[in-house]
Amino acid sequence: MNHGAVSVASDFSGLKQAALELMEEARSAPARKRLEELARGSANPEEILQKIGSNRSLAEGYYARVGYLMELESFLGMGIQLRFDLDMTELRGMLSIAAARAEFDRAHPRCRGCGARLEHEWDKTCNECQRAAAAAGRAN
Amino acid sequence: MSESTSSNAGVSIDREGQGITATPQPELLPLDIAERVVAFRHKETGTFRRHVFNPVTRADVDAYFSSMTVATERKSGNSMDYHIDMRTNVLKLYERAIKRVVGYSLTDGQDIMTLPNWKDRVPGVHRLRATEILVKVTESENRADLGIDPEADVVSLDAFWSAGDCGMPHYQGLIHRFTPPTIEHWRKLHNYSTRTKAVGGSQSQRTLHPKLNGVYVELYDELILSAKGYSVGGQPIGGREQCVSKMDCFHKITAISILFDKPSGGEVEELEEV
Repeated sequence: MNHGAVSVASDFSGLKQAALELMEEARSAPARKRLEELARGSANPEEILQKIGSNRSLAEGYYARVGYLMELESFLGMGIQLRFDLDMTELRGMLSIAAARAEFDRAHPRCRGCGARLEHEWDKTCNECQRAAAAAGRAN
Repeated sequence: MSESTSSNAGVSIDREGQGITATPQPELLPLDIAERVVAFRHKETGTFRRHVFNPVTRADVDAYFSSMTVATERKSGNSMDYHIDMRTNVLKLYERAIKRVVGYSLTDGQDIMTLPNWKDRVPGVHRLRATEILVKVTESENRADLGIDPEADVVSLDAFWSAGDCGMPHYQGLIHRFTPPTIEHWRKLHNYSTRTKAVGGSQSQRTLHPKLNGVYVELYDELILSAKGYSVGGQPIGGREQCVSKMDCFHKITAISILFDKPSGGEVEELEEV
């Protein structure tokens, strides 16, 4: 473990990790919101909210850098012609995000029914679509 | 590391019994005066204390920011603590820019200025307060009244500058007109501002943020078109060239930070049907 000061923009494995965690955070946001609402209605909300905690394992600067790189990536994806050269940390940072996205896509494929991200890589459809299919089967 | 999370380093002027004596707005803020005076009044005795500063240079501003610490630390959940050490850098700027003080006496009745170490003997809270007033620039409170400029993005500032015989004039509605920033300007700022350091390793919860004064001043000099409300040599400030060479760095930094903080989808305003 490195105990010195780490330059976030050049720590590409850290950026990939942060990107993965942000994607996981976005995927689990609805469930997390439900838990937080339940916690607020309980007798000891502080304790429960603390247990829910944060899934972020890195210093905050990693998530800010990933946010910048994702926004830059989306500008480039829109086909905007840039009049400047990207520097190596930006290029390699965007590659780290692309690697994180590929890993996230493998770990959480989309549901064949509704397109929602699935919990496991071996899942084919989400619970809601399975329930709907079962209900439709019973009706027939 | 000594840290304070308070923007005014925990100084409460009310407890010290001092106040700024604001006077009605004069016509133009004179950027090129030889001395800047910060004055405040002791509420109990009614006596005035005056701190006379040399003009604040770009080197002073860089020294001010280089001795500032801005860090964030994540607490439980996703809440964030901001650690901003504003004491060291404020005192450093005072030390660099102060020229003399008026209204401070020693126990034997002599003027404090007779001491070789007079800077150190001025009460710390007065040094902090005087410097905070010296650098204080804020977005105008009545910015909703700004007209729409067909070609430029407009930022309006309020600031104290220098005391006269009647107190500290408060300049309001100091206008800065900018070329609207492009993606290149956006990228320049964010590529720089996200170059943080994780102190204690990547998994530490503490992030040290870069100082943005340099990139803000560069962006100001690239984007400024004109300013209103300032004077040089007794004449209203001219166009872009004078803004680049004569504008106070704290005004540049504040104006640019406001320009880039504006929501991209238009300003959020409270509008009422009539």
